[in-house]
Amino acid sequence: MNTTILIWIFVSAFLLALILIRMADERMDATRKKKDGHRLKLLEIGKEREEFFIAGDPTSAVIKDDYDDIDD
Amino acid sequence: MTISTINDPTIPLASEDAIPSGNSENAHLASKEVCLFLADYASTLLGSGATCIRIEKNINRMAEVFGKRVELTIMPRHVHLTVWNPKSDDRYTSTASVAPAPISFSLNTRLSELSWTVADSHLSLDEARERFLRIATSDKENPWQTLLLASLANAAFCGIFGGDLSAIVIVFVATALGFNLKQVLLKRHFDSRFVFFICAFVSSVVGAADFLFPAGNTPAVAIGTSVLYLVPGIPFLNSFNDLLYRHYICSVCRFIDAIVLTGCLSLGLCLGMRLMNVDMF
Amino acid sequence: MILDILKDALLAAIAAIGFGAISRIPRRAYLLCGIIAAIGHSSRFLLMQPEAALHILPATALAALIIGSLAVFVSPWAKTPAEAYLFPALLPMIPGIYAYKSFGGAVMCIMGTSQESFNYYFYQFAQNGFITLSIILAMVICATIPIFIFKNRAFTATR
Repeated sequence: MNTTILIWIFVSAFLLALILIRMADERMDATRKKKDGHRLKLLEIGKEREEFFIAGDPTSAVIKDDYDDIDD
Repeated sequence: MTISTINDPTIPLASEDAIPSGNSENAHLASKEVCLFLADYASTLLGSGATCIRIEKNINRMAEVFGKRVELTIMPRHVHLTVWNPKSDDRYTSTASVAPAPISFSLNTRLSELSWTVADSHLSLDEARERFLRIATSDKENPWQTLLLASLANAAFCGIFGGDLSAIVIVFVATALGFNLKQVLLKRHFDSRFVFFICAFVSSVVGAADFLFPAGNTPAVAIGTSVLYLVPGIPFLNSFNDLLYRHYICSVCRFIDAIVLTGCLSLGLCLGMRLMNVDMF
Repeated sequence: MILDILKDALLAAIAAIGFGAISRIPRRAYLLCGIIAAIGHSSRFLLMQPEAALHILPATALAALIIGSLAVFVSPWAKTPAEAYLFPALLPMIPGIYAYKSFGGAVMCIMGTSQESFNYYFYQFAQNGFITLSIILAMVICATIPIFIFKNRAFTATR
């Protein structure tokens, strides 16, 4: 298999995945419309507070001045 | 200076006779309000991709109803206008910057309609402002519909250039995938020049399918038309239209914008063709 | 022959509506824009046939003149500013391939090593660039001439 076909397959697969994810994302948006204020995302970059979350901690919605946010 | 006089219903703004020219403070406030409204209106209209001549016409039409005169300078990213009352010497100047927005003929149409409504049925300034805000915030589109129409359009274009069925299908897919990427990236506020480069690259790579897996007889048409949905046609047309009406600064700036975008898309296409071992000439 | 013209008109209408949708033309202008683009593009197609054998530049100019006149006369009925469907109707005639070939020529110019290849690609760059610019300029001028002549008609469209 030569490089050209590899590049083609890689680019096409990436784009196809992107459009499918976008469609699925939209579908999910429509079904669970802000049920709990936090919609399900397939990929998301979390904040430090959310990653080391222990049940009972105040959520970032409550605390405005999170320590790892420099300019928010 | 009291702000309460602005909303005083006893001071109608609809005709210049109604403004007491002896009371300079009231007259000044009225000019100020008109000027701020017109500045917002003009900058929104410019952001929607209207030509300079249309902005001038619409602004003057509304100013006349409010009993004002306007001098208007349209810069590429700003609108600068001075509003004054011909019967007294109050004047107000304002500069509004243009919010970067996608070209929208729909917004352009509705704002032009508003200017005629103001002129014909003598709307009050408050009413006009309210309608303006409603129009400016309700310009929505269905992205999936646009995606489908753009893909169909580019596939039709491929047909015009003599592509066979497999080329048309490939162009449809390449456009749909590339346009989807464009929408996703623009929504995340990526730089438009980068977006044009990367979208042209991926569309030309996908469009090269006919070379890699020969199915049709017109692979060159497929790859050549797969990026045409990116060509900034409206900015080119707007630029030359401004040129005709001697708005040279705007014209040159729109032209440079369009050229830069075309350049980015060409570079993306060149890279895509290079990687796919296809020659452009 | 007639079938070719009809095919060209239909494809041009789809192209105009689709590219217009990218610039968000108002929904009520879709049909009008498609019809005008179909008439314009197919008349250019006709003018470039071997029987008439016009160069792409005058053919585009004439087609733009037709489009512009049509646009001015239907604008009071369409209740839309002329450019909202006039410009999208011109889009299928934008010389996109010439535009990017011009840039492609410039790139190959820089990458080239010999004088012949430079001359060849510089010629490609300049020729495609000139054609692009002159076509767009001719298109805008000819499409705007009717608006100039019937000024009041064009700008009162949304009344």
